[in-house]
Amino acid sequence: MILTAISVALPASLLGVLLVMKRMIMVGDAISHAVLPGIVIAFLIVDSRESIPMLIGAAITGVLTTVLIDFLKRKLRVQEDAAIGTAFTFLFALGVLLIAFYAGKNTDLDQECVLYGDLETSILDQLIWNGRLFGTRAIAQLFPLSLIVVFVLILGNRGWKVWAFNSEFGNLKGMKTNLWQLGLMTLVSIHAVLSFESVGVIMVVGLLVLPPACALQLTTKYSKVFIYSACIGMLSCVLGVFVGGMINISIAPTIVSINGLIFTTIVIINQIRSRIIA
Amino acid sequence: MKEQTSIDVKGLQMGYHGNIVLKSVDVVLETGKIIGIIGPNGSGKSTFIKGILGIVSKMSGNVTFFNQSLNAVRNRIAYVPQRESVDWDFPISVNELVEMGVYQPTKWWKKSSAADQEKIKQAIEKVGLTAFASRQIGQLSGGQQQRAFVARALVQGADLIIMDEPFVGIDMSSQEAILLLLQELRNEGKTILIVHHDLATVANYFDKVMLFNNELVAYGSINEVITPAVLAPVYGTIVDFSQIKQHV
Repeated sequence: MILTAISVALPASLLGVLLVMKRMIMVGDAISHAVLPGIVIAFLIVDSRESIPMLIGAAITGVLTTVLIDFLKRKLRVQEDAAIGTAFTFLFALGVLLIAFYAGKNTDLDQECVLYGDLETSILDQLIWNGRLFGTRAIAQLFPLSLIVVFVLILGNRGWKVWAFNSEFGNLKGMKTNLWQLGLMTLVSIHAVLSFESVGVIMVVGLLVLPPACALQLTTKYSKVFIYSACIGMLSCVLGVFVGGMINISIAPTIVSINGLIFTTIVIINQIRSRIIA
Repeated sequence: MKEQTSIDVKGLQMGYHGNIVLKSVDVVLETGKIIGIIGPNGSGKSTFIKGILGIVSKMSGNVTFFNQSLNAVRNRIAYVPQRESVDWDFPISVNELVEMGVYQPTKWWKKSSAADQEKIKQAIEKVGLTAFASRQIGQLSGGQQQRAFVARALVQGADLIIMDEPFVGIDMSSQEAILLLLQELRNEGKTILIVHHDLATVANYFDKVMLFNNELVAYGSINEVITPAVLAPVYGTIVDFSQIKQHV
């Protein structure tokens, strides 16, 4: 269970750093909700929870969400926060309706699971191949994603830095910042769909935003923000599984709560330290 | 060989959502000058530079840099954004900011080379920030922040540096330090284009000025443009000419 939680949290805490630094974290929030109709439609078409169609469905709706937000903002001149709110609540509502009408009756896709996830039962979904146990499905899907995210961030490190800090400068140098952004949003969408079963679409936002928020309180060094964020993300998973198990409560919200507590502690310590120095 | 013309603008028209902000601009800017862009608020100064750089799309017109299209000479042009549009809390150091200047989008997976690192070091030294190289950009003074951006333009090898309001919120002595640096660059043959709003310092800062008021009203030397006859129709009676220091 710890491994599942960590494989959800690691890519989230890394992707979240870029979103927070670019001040686009609410787009991440939007995507994690808006992929729902994509998932449901993919599910209705192939009538199973095979991951490939779901991934494609989610990636398409994720990218579509960013395009829709951009369209509302630039062409229709809707202010940014309103554009984000409009796009994701509308798409999420569509997804919930689709589940209620078509998928809810005789399947294992239900609203509760989508909203809150279920880390406890996700471990029951074992991946068995050739008669051997390969670990849970969630880990089998999310672990490669973690590797891909780490690889993409390291390889494109300088480009991501330019994109996040100063896209205009990148454009002027001939960099295709729009493609970089779509690439990142695709990764966020894929992450959202792979983790919604384990932690649900609400908690996944917590995993995107809290570790980077903590890390940015701790350091002003670019690469350290990523390292701290990943460490804090994983630490809160370990603590969350441990505490949740001990007092027998749902684990995903425990992880996010602990992450919130870590953030609060860091802020308080920083405040005290700056008072003492001043 | 250096070209004589840095920017050639023909019939540039800019606007947002059908409203014309800048009426057909025709102008040829020479190289090796510090050129000021002045005009009242909302007169299209920033729109002009965003238009020529393609940051905001233009309604019509044609712009060439060094007699070539923007795409052919992207690396020779550097843009220093307005202070307020920069995220000063962003976790990067002066060194990392300047390093962006050597970033090549077509070789995005590559790390910067040792030669690049040397260039970065020299540029930071030239703008006098060596002691602050590893400092986070938000922890610099306003003048140092501008100089850090100039260093990024230098490592890029830019021959044309375009700055949007670099002197806003910066004390006089820091302004003069930046100006000395820019004058040194001009003497090396670089062209510097600066959006500026403080009429009182115009005469001391620029070799030539462009005066905008939703169109290009005048372009010429200080003596030609900074006169009551040219300025009064644009600024009305609010201009106090005793405040404008004539250095000639």
